[in-house]
Amino acid sequence: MAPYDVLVVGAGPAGMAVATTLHKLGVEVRIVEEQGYPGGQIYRSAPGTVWSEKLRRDWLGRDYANGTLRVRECLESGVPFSGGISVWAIEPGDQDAVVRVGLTNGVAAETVRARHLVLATGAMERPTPFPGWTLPGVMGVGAAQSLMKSTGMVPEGRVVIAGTGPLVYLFACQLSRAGAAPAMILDTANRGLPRERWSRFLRALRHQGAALARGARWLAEIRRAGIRHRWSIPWYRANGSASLESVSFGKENGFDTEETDLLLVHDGVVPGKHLTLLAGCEHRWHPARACWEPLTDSNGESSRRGIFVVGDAAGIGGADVAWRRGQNLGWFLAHRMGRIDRDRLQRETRRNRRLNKGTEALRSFLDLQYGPAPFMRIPESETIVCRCEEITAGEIIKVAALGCTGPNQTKAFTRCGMGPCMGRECADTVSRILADFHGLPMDKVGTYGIRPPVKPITVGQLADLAE
Amino acid sequence: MFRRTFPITDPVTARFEGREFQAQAGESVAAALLSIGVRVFRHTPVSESGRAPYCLIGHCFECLVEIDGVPNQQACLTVLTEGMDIRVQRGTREGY
Repeated sequence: MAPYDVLVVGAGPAGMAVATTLHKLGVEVRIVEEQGYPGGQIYRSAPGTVWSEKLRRDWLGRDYANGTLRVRECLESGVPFSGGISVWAIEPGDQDAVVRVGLTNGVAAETVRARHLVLATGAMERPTPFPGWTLPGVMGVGAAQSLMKSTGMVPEGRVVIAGTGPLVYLFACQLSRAGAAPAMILDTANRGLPRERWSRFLRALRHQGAALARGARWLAEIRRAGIRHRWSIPWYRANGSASLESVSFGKENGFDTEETDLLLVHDGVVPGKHLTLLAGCEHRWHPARACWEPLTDSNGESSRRGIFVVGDAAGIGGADVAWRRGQNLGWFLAHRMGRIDRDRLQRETRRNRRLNKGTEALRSFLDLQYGPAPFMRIPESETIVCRCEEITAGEIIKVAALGCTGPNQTKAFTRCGMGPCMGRECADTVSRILADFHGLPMDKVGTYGIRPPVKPITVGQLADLAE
Repeated sequence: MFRRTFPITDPVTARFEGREFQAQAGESVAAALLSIGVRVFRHTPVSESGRAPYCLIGHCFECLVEIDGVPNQQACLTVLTEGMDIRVQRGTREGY
């Protein structure tokens, strides 16, 4: 089979935008996506259902409603879309710079080739360990939000949200509108705005005032709904024997414990780096954002020729930034393939470039004001770091003291990172513990090396691969 | 842990640990199990601790269940179909 001109992995805003732009120009492009339907997580939906309409109209808000229009545009464009597909391998190109990608639908595996691979795999919630975080009944805010978007389900019983950031405030509002308001928000951020942050706040206000106003409206809606919003929470933990029973949290003098049926946690979002690591792309630790980002040039090309990263997978920017960058990458790839000339490229990409320009100011403020909780940077000794293999922070520190300076060596010593999630949930915590212990920068410590398969496939499926 | 805000309009019948239940067509196995109050999806290989979904988008692998005799299925990425036989995964795919 001839290689695809462009293969796009991920059908969120960025992936849809690249693919639709290219498809409309007559370029041969295919989208593969793990979910059954385009939209990614942010525009996740239950297409064709009665409640989808009500969710969109009354509960999820205007941004989501606009997003579903983008999904419809993608579908109506006729761009080839394959749902239910996971990537299990990526082999960067050889002499002809054609990338080989292993795909699986759970039943059968195949390998395809592409001249250009676009990784638009989006973000994940920062997996921050705390005591009791592995108990059933503890899950991410984003997890519960995805569930609500795709099924209309809301939490039952007493729900507490712990963490910070725009997603916390948005989801608390969405739950409230659906009649399932959380009992309490344990916010690890501070309520006030200290003097040293004013200049960043004012810059954000100037460039992205509307977005800040939206955030302020969410906070006001939370107050109006009577949701208890406790700020500057110094720590929290989940308690229970077989599953979550209560949550304890620090306050000014002492602490409190409250019975809880569901604890939704959120410590910001970070790029999902598993596929970019698999593809052998170089990454750099971003200190302010406390996450790894793949190195990309202004067009989105990674350190591997022919492999592009766009959207939140390249750096957190949100849906609108992802959409615009995706469109511009589509135009760029069309130019690179000789379908449009340079003048047209400049013309078509100008507006998106202008609109994206001021968004960094908002990000910069949010990273500072609602950054990851400092008290959770290095977990307590008994806290599980590697959920799959149940390795604690104390065990990581022990091998660090023995001389382990990197996560791969730590993995060999402890099995940390050897479980099915392959370090997706523990990598950054392990690196951070090692960096902290040895006084090394994160770029020096590095992260796990990722090798295929990154999604489960059987020996039988491998044997049946058509070569 | 979760309740439906709308009734099931397009039912699918499946079994969890031998017990029959109904869910909405097109839902993931994870969503369906959460809707009927399942608290534990699997027991870990290391300590037999109960686990349930954490990320619900295919990253954490906490939602591993056995479906129609095949273990290590990510419930959040598997669509529920008629007659599915879903069981708690106990340990690794070979069991304890």
